[in-house]
Amino acid sequence: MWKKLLVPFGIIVPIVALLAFGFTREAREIPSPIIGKQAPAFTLTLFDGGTVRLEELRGKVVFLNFWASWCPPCRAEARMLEAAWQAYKDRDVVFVGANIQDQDANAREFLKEFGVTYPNGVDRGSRIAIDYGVWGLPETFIIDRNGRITYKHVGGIGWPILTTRLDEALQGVASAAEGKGDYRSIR
Amino acid sequence: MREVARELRCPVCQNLSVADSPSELAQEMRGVIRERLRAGQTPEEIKAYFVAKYGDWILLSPRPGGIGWLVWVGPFAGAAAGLLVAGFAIRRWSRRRRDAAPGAADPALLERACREALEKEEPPPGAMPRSPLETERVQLYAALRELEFDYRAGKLSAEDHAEMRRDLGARAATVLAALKSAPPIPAPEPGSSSAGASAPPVRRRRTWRLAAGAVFLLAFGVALAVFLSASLRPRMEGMGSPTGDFLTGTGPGGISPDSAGTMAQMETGRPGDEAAGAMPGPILAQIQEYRARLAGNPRDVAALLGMAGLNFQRQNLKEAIDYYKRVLDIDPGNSEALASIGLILGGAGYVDPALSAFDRVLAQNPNDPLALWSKGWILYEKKQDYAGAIQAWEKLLATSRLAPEDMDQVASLLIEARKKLAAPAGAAPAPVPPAAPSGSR
Amino acid sequence: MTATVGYASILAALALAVWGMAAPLAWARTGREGFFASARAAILGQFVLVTLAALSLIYALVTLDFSIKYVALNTTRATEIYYRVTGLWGALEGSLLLWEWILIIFSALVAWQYRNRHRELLPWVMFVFSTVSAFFLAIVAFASNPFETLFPVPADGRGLNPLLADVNMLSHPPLLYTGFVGLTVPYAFAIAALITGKLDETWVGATRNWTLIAWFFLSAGNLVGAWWSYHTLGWGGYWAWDPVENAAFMPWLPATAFLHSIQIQERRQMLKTWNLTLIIVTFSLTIFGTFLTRSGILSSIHAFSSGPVGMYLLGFLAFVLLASFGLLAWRADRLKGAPELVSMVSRESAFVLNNVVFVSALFTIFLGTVFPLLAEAVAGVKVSVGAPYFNWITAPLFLALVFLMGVGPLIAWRKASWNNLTRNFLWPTSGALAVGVGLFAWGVRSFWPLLAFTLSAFAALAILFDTAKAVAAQGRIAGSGPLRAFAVLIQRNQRRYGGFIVHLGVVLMVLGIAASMSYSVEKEVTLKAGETLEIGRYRVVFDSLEQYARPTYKQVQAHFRVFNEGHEVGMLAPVLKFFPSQSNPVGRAVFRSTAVDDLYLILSGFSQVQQNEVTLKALVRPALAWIWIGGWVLVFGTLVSALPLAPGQPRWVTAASVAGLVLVVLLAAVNITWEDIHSH
Repeated sequence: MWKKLLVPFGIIVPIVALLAFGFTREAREIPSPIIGKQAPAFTLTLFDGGTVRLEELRGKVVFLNFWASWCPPCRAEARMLEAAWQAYKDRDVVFVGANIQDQDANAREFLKEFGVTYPNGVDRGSRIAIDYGVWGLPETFIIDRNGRITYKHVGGIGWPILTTRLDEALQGVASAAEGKGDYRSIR
Repeated sequence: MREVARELRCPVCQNLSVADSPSELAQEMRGVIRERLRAGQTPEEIKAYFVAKYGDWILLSPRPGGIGWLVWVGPFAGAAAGLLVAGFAIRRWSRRRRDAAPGAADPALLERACREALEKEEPPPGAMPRSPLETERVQLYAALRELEFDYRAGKLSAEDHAEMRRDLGARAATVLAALKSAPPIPAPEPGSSSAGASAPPVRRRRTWRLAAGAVFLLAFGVALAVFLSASLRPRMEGMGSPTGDFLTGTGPGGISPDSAGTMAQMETGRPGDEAAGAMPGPILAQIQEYRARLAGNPRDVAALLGMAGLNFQRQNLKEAIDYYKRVLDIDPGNSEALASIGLILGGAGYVDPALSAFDRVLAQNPNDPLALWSKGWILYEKKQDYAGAIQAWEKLLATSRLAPEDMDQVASLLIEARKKLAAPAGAAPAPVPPAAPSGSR
Repeated sequence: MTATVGYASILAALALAVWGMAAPLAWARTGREGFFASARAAILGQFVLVTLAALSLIYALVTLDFSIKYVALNTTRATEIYYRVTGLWGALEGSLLLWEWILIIFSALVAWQYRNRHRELLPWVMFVFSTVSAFFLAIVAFASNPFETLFPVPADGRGLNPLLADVNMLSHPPLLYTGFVGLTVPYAFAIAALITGKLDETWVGATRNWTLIAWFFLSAGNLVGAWWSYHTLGWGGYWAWDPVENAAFMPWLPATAFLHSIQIQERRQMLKTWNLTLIIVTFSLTIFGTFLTRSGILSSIHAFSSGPVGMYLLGFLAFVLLASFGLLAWRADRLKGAPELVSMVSRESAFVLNNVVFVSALFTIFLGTVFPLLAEAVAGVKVSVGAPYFNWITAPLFLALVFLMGVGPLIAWRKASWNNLTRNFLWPTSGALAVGVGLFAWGVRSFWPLLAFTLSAFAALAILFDTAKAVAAQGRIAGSGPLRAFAVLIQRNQRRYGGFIVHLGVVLMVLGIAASMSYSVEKEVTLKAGETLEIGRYRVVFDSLEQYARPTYKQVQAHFRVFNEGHEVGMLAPVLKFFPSQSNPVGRAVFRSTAVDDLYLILSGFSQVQQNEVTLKALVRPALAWIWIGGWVLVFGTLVSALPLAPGQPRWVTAASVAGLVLVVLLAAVNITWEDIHSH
């Protein structure tokens, strides 16, 4: 009899194991294929006029943050990002904010409310966001001096992670590729 | 454009293609596809672009490379294997000929079998237990019936019909002969399979069943009573109606309304934390300290407030209300207790009692920070009275010295409230701007 | 109070369920009849208690008893009364209670119906029922309790998910759950047969009608789901190959195969092991389906919030599979028969092929559904398997089934004479080829739709020809007119002709699916007031835009006038609803359905800056209405198969059955012709 059990059990057990494995996975997350590759070029028209081109920022570490005014985690981290900008602006780091799926008036309000001073612009039609494979808000990319993406964080990035990653990027190392915080799905 | 969009998965929705999805991102992606098509890119190139950004996940049809071969080859392999196995089985089964019918069949019985098959009505299965012979007879009769039907409908040639009729009839005849000579099976009436033997055990069965039923009902009754009393206990403490003196307190200032577990779940749709479970060390120590103090002096207001606050933080709202009530028994005007109870009530939707609690506090101390903050929050969130909320919060900022994070929070709330006051009520929030240019694909 | 009554009933029912598991074991040990009766009483007792629990939850929902957390999370004071009732199955906890309730209703019905029959099998059947019931009761009692109370009692509830606020919510989940749960009955009998060793056709015969009933509800539930997707979700499609949709469809495949292959077992006493395997797989798939919906391991629009319930369901699934196949292996020697077929060319072979196709389809869909998990586990990559893949890979399998549906009626049982067979094939084949050539000439050039239409014609013609010949033969023998002959034929061969009607229904559905999938036209444009969109044979003119506020949401509605070849045929007004709790609006598309095609309008967006500009997505889908017409025909055919129409019944029974059939026809007519231009 035991031999007869071999075939059905041989099919059932792997299937159940596979389904159990499913519990350890997060079905909705999308791992990013662009980490470690050259960051896609973009041109961002800023709110206060002026433009920012990624090529011009070569040689500095770029902290690229995608946000929207209706997204609570973006609001929660805005002040902290501004404080980080103040801390790092003299150290060869550039903070760039890209506003997506939003309305200009609300975006400007947001910037005024949180006193954001680093360059921010509107990503019309989410072209840049799609170029970077954005699927959640807020999303942050850290681009090193050679223009490679070294780190992507989906959701609110906390002060400890931010400083660690920026310091690493300034030194030219990268210890982790992706991180996750509290996020909202993109619309 | 549709063909490409149909093969890409929308990152926002569940399992919809970019072509079908109504979300904003999908519209933007459709715009990207349109642009690239106009610029001369092929569908393959466009798909490769999206794969480079989002990974293979974005393709709705897995690529045949790598592990993908399994999902493309698997079904065909499975179907082919199935067909092969079935084919071999059918071949083998149709080659196996049973031995010729045992002995020559009585032609009279054969004819009788064929005739009966077409005329006899069979009782439904299971009504009486059938012997294997009976079952076989029923089956053979059914087969004969079907044979006639198929022949009349023109599916069989005359030779095949005659041959199968002979074959089936012979087998039926054999069965009939066996049935005639076999001892008859007593046909019991339906319903009393052991009628005779069951008379004495009937009474025993009945009492046994009765006893089991009684025990069971007793257990049910006990369970009911236990649960009933457990659920009634809080009611007996006067919690029947929301009006009247519900007074609780809250913990230290800077409370975020989102900390209420189930109430937050109700408001924002996100699961709040279930506070059940292990408590962190320092809080445990605090609780023990409070308990010790209360054991020594049951009227220690500070300890009561502390316990209430901890319970509020952990969403044990019943206990929190309990403690606040005790505080108010001792000190009826205690502002922390009153304001916090107002916050709990307001959070549950009882706006007016909450506001009256706040006003009681403010009557004694017009600048009480907790009361002002809570009143503003309840007015903003529950009554959409933005003007009232703004008034309360402005007063709060003007008269109290708060920690910088708390000031920030109040300031942001003020801006929100002012925005909402300025926007006309009834405007559709964040409409989707038409992103697609006029014209078709 | 209500919560207490409900929860206590669940606990008491659980106790009874455990006893219901023990009593048959005791009966087997001691042979005392008392235990047998006690097992039945346990099931009936569970029925009473679970009904009490379900009714108390419904009562709490209807009276808006917000002290119960489930009520507070699923209703508000503004919710209409019928949506309060549907709250019973609107969220996880309640849906498990509903499952258990339907399960115990089936169990009680079976226990009652067979109280004097199938004496050997029934104790074990009840054992299986009580076991499954005990599992679900335990989950309801300890892992996802709908009677949890809330303090303080909120003044208002959160409300039903707006996507679920649709009239189909009244029918889709109950129908589907009834289908799933109903399949427990044949499974219980199969296990009973394995345990007792009575592996002949008794268990098959006892459950034939129950299986048909369960299959009926499963089919109807899936059809209503497709209708809901088309009618309400507003993306213009009816089947997205979403993992949970697949999970609801997967049990249907082996169940249909089972309905066919048990006919072989009844006639030839063959395929016993195969049938047992099929029904075990079918039941396991129903548990798998409920697991998939509640575990969160695959992302789906249907998924309930996940929790520990998923793990328990997986554990139960593993237990069911291992125990059932263990029993099968134990009894393997008794299952050895000497299977033989009279001829390779016979309906038996056709049915075997039909089984192969069904199981291949099941394997394909299952593989595709779990493939993302497999890829992640084995290769660490995240992939998607969606509609393009499934449509492509299942098309040949389903078309093979259509072909077999045509072959079936033409072939005799046991042995089909080759000459007769070729003669019988002649008319349907030539008719189908004529249809194919005609369509090709008319302009249908793509391979798959052409093949689908040709095969459908073949199947339909085969069925009609066979029926016509049988009617003629019957009329000749009985000397009666064709109508009377037809009635007699149906009465005497209910399953056969009911089955033919079902097949015709499926053929109609295949027609609708093939046409609408291959020839739909889609356009998305931005229109200002007065501008026109030309699509298919329609002209759509944008008229006006209006906004208004309702108690629970705000609504934007766009009005379009529709012209067909010059004259106006109606106004369509799709809607976008903005709910405070959702970040994206919920769209309510509208469509106009005719026998030729459906015109489907979706409001994608509108502009507030310059009022009166809208983005419209329009689709014209040919022959889509035939899917629903085919569905009704399928329902009708199943009823013909299952209702008591045979002679020898009391008059009123036959009359009631016929009345039921007439009612179904009327319902179908109403549903098909109702112009659903208004959306609520």
